[in-house]
Amino acid sequence: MSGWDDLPYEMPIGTIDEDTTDRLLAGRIHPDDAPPGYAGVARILQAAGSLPRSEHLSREAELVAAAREVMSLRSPPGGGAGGSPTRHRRALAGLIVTGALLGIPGLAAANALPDPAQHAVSRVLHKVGISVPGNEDHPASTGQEISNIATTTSSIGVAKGAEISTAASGGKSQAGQHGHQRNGGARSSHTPSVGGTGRADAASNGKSARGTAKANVKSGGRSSAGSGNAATVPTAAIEHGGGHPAAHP
Amino acid sequence: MAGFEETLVAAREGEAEALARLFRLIYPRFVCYVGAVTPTDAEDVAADAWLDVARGLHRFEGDEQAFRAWAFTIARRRLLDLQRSRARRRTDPVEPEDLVGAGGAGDVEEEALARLGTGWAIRLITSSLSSDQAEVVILRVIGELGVDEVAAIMGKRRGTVRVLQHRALRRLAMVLEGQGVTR
Repeated sequence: MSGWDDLPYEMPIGTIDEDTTDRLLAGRIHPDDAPPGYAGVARILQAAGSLPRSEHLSREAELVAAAREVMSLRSPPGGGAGGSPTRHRRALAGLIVTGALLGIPGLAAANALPDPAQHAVSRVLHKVGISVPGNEDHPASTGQEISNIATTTSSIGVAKGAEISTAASGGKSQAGQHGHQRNGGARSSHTPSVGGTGRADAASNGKSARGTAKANVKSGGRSSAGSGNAATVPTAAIEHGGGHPAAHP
Repeated sequence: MAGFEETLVAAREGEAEALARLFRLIYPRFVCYVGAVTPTDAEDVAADAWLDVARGLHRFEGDEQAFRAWAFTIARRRLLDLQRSRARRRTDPVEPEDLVGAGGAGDVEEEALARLGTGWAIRLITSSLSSDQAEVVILRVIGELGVDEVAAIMGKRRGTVRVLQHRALRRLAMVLEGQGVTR
């Protein structure tokens, strides 16, 4: 602030204590009773504290009415001080949640949701007693039901798979409806097994064949060790659809 | 005349007379306080602060002194909002010699005393003191607030406020002595 360095600091202005300071500021010290040098301060502070009531009360009716209005609304008028961004965000979030709560069941009732969402909403609403499409038109809603079908059905092979698939997909699966099974359900293919065994015999110096014979003796002929010597009976294995990994359905 | 507590309860219910009593209690103080910083916007800022007080009335609990402190906290926020929105709105400080000498020729003391009024006194305070010192003095004098309340409103420590007010009065005394206002 300009000019204050030039003030005559040697003026006889006494030091005042905290209590005197408080009483001066409260206007409780008359200028005539003020400490040396503080009479003018006492006058200034008294003048500052004597509020010109009527001067500032001309808007009383208007502002009291406005206050009643904002109190009845409990929300700020446009651009008012209470219109904080946080409040607006909360209001927006509330609208979104309300819209979701009202809109999703509505769409579900109209069966207008994507299938997974429709099914999920249907199941949730079904638990609270509200029926919307997507819950009752599914033949098997749980893994337990699918499992029951799989273990109790009399179908076999492709027919069994088709039945389970149809139940699990709500009839949408077309599994087993195209094409046909080959060789009575056992799909087999030719796999040359020549050489492998011979190589094994050669590599083992005949011990492989001896091991096979020994296993046959020990098991009373039930052992299939050595696969019945694939090198000598390849056709039988193929025609019976067994004894070869590639012959499984 | 109803006590403050009854007035507060009735005002919360929207009773016009109770609200008017609260209005008379704080609005003129708001105008003086804000006017000390930005005279041209004093009425508008004070009105906004008053409406903020009305909005928050249902949340307030306390006696009259606490109410004044709470209301001035709101008014100060309003003032700071205005100052932020306008990079520099504050009027240029008036040199105290201009204020004291504004009465023309004659006995300086008599002229000054004759012109003593709230507005004049506040202008002298704001033009003579630093902004912090002036605010402490105005909150204490206009708001009739204690040191602790002023410290809370201004976000300063109690001791800081004490130092500010002590230096403020000493500076005012020097200014007035220097201008011959004080005997």
